Order: sequence, then structure tokens, then C-alpha cells
Amino acid sequence: MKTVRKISRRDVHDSGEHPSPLREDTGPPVVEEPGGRVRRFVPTTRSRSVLSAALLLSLLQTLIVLVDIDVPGRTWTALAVALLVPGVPVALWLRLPSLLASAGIAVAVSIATQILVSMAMLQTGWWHPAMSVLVPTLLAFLIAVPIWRRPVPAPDELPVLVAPVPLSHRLREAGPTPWLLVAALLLYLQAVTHTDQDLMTAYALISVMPLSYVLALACIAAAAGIELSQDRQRERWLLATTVTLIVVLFTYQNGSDQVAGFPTSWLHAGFTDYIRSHGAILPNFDARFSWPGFFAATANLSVSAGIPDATGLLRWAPLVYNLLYLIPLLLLARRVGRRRRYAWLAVMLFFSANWFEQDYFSPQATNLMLYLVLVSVLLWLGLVAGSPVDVRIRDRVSRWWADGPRTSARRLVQALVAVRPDRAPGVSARQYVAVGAIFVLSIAASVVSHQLTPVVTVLALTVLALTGRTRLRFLWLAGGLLFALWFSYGATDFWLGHLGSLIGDVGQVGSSIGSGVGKRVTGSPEHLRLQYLRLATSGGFLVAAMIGLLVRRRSPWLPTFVALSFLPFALIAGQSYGGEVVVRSFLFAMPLFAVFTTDAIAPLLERLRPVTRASVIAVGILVVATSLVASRGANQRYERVTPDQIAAVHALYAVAPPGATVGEFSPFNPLHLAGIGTYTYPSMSDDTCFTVDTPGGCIAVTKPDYVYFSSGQTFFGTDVAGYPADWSARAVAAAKASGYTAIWASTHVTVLASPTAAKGATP
Amino acid sequence: MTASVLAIAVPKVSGPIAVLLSGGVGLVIVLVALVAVVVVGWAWEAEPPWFTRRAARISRYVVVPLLVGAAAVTTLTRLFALS
Repeated sequence: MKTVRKISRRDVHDSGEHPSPLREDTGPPVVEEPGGRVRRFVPTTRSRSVLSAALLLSLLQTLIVLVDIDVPGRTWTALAVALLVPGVPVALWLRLPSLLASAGIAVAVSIATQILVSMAMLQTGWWHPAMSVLVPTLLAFLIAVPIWRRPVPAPDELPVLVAPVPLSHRLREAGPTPWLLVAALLLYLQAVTHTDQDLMTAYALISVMPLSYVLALACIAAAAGIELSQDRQRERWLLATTVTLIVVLFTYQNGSDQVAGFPTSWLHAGFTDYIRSHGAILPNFDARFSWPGFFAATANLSVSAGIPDATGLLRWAPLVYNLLYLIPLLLLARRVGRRRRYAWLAVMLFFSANWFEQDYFSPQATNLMLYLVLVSVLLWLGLVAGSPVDVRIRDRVSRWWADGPRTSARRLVQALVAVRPDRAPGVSARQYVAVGAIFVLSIAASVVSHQLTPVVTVLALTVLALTGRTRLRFLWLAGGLLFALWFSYGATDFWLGHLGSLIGDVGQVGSSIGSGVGKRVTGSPEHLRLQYLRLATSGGFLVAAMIGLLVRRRSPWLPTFVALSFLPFALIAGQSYGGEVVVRSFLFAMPLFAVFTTDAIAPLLERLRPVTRASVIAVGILVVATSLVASRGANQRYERVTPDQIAAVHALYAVAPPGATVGEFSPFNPLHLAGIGTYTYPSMSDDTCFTVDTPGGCIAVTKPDYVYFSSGQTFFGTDVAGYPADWSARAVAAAKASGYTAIWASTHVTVLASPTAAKGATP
Repeated sequence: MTASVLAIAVPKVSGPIAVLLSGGVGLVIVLVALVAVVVVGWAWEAEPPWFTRRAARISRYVVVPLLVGAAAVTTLTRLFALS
């Protein structure tokens, strides 16, 4: 019989995997520091300071909400409490030997608590928004009790304080990086203030991008190149570089305009506003109301923030979400990536290629954070621990061959059901149980707030369980049951009476790809080029990730990595998700694609001299990040929302009686920011009455009380639907010829009222 | 690429058992299965004294599969009965 050698830590190290830097004993946890150094985890006064700050913040916010006083920065304190309480006390109580895992768990716990508390209020009909602050605050104080009871280390156990290094000395040591980042921010500010989105051509956002924006990106790319080529990486400056990159990339679209773009985010604000006003969902109105967790939580958040509605949260949502993603992404890249020194490069590549625009104010953006934290923490726990399945594929096949089919089959069943990795060093059974409980809560929050994410989460958990890569093997079953529970009993509105049509999409792979790719690659030649750029970006990362996986072919983790990378695409076989499933699949896959892309290029970078390597990295990041403006901003002409469009909507709803009909040509307008359930919105571009020659045909047939013409709808017609440039002008003229009169006319919007409606409407 | 790989039709189920499973009883079954999975998951890691090797084997190969299977049947019954 052939003997099979189990891979030792040394083998793993030699094969390019990370050696576990953590010790095997079960004493106080150890903390892995940047650069691979390891130190003992000793509870210090710093953790108590963090706890005190979190408790004080939550107490302060509770008082602000209960008394309802307007204080400057209330929105930001409300957001901080929603993202950190009770997560910070939980993470400090948990004491995991990884700062990133703890930070990710802190945010995930807080978000999950907000969603579950809000859902409890929504389901019981006991709608009291103050509870969404009070309950997490009470939980935080309860959890803080055992932390305060922990013994304070004796003075000689505390770290020795060294004299602070003067700032001038620090800056001198830092080299050009801080100056490059300051220059980048100044150039960015210049670019933001000098971008006029009214001048956009069919090439959308990149057509108005000033040179200063490219120079800002060039400064960041140069800083990244310099820092990533250092012999000893400086985590602080890499963090500063990445944060600057995120700020510059994800605030440009909304920052260079006066209000947030993306009409769907305004629709989500409308849903939030409805729940806030009524303390309930609107049944049988929209599928998203069957997963109302996010909308209920943000309704409470808007009350806590003291803002009249959720629209105040839209503009900076992409920045907040991407900053949050940084935590689990870095953990993922450090642990899964072959070379730790390129973890930051993987993270920067992810952000530079994040064209998907799914980080607006939305359930999917929030759920992506929960998903990333879950996957990254479980991979971290699995990768730092040894496992009986740490056997190379080649050796595993040899064993199957030698053992014969019967023994192999029995072993396979045992492996699928029972094999678990060792405990991660420094993580006790209690901590594992606590992490499991936290993830059950996190999945529960995900299950009630989004359709797709729980499915991908359960698939990922199944992969980790079946490949024996997690000790928390029950999570996939718990996740599946939670999903089944909510889908069959909570989301009844979604499927009752038409399940057949819903599952009709199952297996329609070709149709899902057609609606997700084919139907999207259409429109004017300029718009087509931008769509091809999107395809090229995603395709490029897909191919590079596959090469990276090839580079990692000797890793015993290969089957898990392959499955986790490509399982999001299983969604395509499930349903088309309104033509979005391909984009969503790529979004879930991109974090690992970015890591494996880095694995593919890292060997090439290693061969270069430091100066050349820095240049190559800088040029690479600059190219990808600059192309992001084109690919991410490809739809900006019609997805843009302007202040006069918002004002027109409010003016319209001020005069339109409940039950009025408001005609719209496409959903690219902010009509739904309010008035959910009050008005109906017939389509004015229905195939039965709309033609390019008679663009006002549906107005004559449907006779809506009002018609809302916005620049977004006009540009969607010209850029995507292939209408002639004057189509909306002719539609307005046709409506006016039918007796409609303008009750609002401004640069980006015209609102017409029918003869009967106009009698009660004043301009 | 061709359009369809599978052709799924929703079967209609009815009868007293379907009514029973698609209502409150079904909800209880799914909840019991969920609690069982969480408790067994906890016990597997925490290893309390009552979770002997035999208990672990029974829970792993009998209790959890049975309850999860029952929950799956219940869920499908509800979906098909009310569709």
C-alpha cells in the first residue's frame, strides 16, 4: 500500500502557503501583527478605552434620540452607533487573535442587530424607532460587564511606553508617500469642483473627467507602487493609500454632482420612508418588501440621525460601504493570498475594478459586508489551523486508488460529514461557539433583508463544510433552514399564487446570461464601447484569477478556493434576477478573483528590480483605476439625479391627489423617493402604444394625470434604447398638443399635467 | 446557448396532510429542526458531558438528517400547496 504523507506546516510554507504563525497552546491568545510578527494578546487599557468610547457614544446617541435634540454631526454619530454597537463590546468580549477579524465581526454584529431589532418591531407591529438605539445600547452595557470584570494586567505586564516620535521625524522617514497622498487629495478636490456633469457626452462620466482627476489617481498609484515595493511594508501608509484610493474612486460620481445619483437608491429611500411613516410594509407592492430588513433598519437609522427621510444617507453610501469592505477584504487577501506582501495590492485591485455600482444605498451592499465578514473569518480560522484534509490533490487521488472504491466511499462520507480542521491556535472552543452564534445571527439578518446573499452564503458554507475546512459545520444547515423559514413563511407575498412563474427561471441558464449580458450590451456606439470595457474588466479578472489558481495548483486548499471563487455563478442557474444575476455573481466572486489575480502576477513582479516593480504596480493601478471612471460611470448620463428633478417630484406630490397616475418613460428618475403606494406609475414606453415615430403615443392612449419627463429618461432613450435625439422633445410636444400643460419646467425635468389634473395644480 | 436546461413544473399538492404541514405545524417542524441543528452544532464544539460519542453519532447521522429532511419536506409542501 502506498503511504501518503500528510503535509506538514513546513511543506505548506514551502508550497507558498502561509505557515501558521500562531502557537499551538491554549493560553492567552496571540496576535499576528503586520509583517508576520507575533505577540501575546494581553488585555490592555487600550481595549478598555475603546469599550468606554463605544459605550459613551451609544449612551449619548440614546439620549439624543430620546430627547430628540438637533446636534451637529448627529447623522454621523447615528451611523457610528449603527455600525459599532453592540459589535465593539462583543468583539472585545470575544478576544479573537486577529484585529481584522474582530473589526469585521464588530461591524457585522452591529448591522445584524439593527436589522433584527427593526424586523422584530416590524413583525410585531410595535414600531418604536428609539428602540433601535436603546436595545443595542443595553446589549452593549450587558456585554461590557464581563469585560470590565476581567483582571487588569499588572503594571509590569503592560507594554512599555516609548517616547513619541516627533511628527517631523515621522514624515521624513515616511518618504514621498504622505506628500503624494496630500497632492492626490488636493487634485481630487480640484477635479470634483471642476466637473460639470451637464456637459457629459454619450461617453458618460469619463467625458467630463478633468486631467486633475487622472493626476490624483497617478499620485495614489505612485504611492502604492512605492509602498508595495518596500522590503518591509509599512502598513499605516498602505492603509492611508488605500483609503485615499477609496475616497477618490467612490465619492467622485456623487461628489462632483449636487445630489446622489442612481434612481434605485432614491426608490430604496422611498421604501424606507414608507416603513418609517407607517411602521409596516406595503403588502403586494414590490418584491423587495418581502425582504424588508434593510429598509426597516434604515428607517430607524434616519430617525436616529434626526433627518426627515433617508435621502440624506444616499450621497455618501458608496464611500461608507467600500470603507467597510476594506476590513474583510484585507483579512481575506492576507490569508488566502499566496504572498502576504501583495495583500494590499489585491485589495487595491478589487476597489479599482469595482464597476458594478452595487454599493449604493441598498440591501445588497449591506449584505455583501455580512457575506464578506463571514467568508473571510471562516477562511482565516481554517487557514491558520491544521487540518486532516491538508493533503495535496495528487496524494489524495493516490490514496483513493490504493484503498479501493469501498473504503474510499466510506472515507468520503465520513469526510463529508465529520472531518473538521483543528482549532485555530489561540481560539478556544468557547470562542468558536460564540463565532458560530454570531454568524447564525448574521445569516438571520441577511435572510430577512436580501434575496440573493443568503443563497450565496449557504453555498459558501456548504463548500467549507463539505471540504472539511470549517469546524462550524452546522452553519450551512442553519443558514439553509433560516432561508427556508423566511422564504416560506415571511416572504409569502413574493411567491403566493405565482410560484410557477418564479421557478420557471430555474435552469434557464442561456436566458439568464442573455438578459444579464446580451440585453445589456446594446445602445449607441459610445455606450457599447463602455459596456465592452465592463466586460473586458470582468473577463480580464476572471482569466487572471484562473491563472492564479493554476499557480496555486499544489495548494491543498485548491478545491475549496476553486469552489468558493466560482460558486456565485451557480446563481445564474437559479434565476435571472431581473437581468442582474450575472453582475451580482461577478460581484460576489470579485474579492477572490482579485486575490488570485494578484497570485498570478506576483511571481512576475518578484522578478523585477524594486524600481521597475514600483513602476509596473503604479502604472497597473493607474490604468485599472482610470478605466473604472469609464466603466463605473458608463450609465451616469441616465442614472444621474439632479436637484431640480427632486424639487419637481416634491412639487408634483404637493399638488397631485392620492391615487393620481404619473406617467414615466423608464425608471431612470427619482419619482419614487416618496409617495410609495399613493400613486401609480403607468409606463409611457409600452410596446403597444410607443413607437419612435410617435413617442407620445402612450400618453394619448393611457391619459395619465401627470407625465414626468427627466433628462435621465431622455438619455436612456438615446444611449440605450436607440431613440433619436429629439424623441423626448417630440413626446412633450405631442402631450402638449393633447391638452397637457407644463406645471414644472427646468433644465433637467418637465412635468406635464392633464387638462383635468391641471385645474387643481399650480406651477 | 440554448434557452432551457431544466423544465420545472410546480406540482399542486392538497389534502389534510398538506394543509397540516403548510400551516402552523410546518412552522413548528422547521423551527425544531433549526433549534436541533444549532444545539448539535454547539454541542459538537463545546463538548458538554451529555454529548457522548454515541450521542454525537446519533445526532449526526439520525436526528439532524431526519429533522432537516422533515423541514425540507414541510417547506416544499407549503410552497406547492399554496402556489
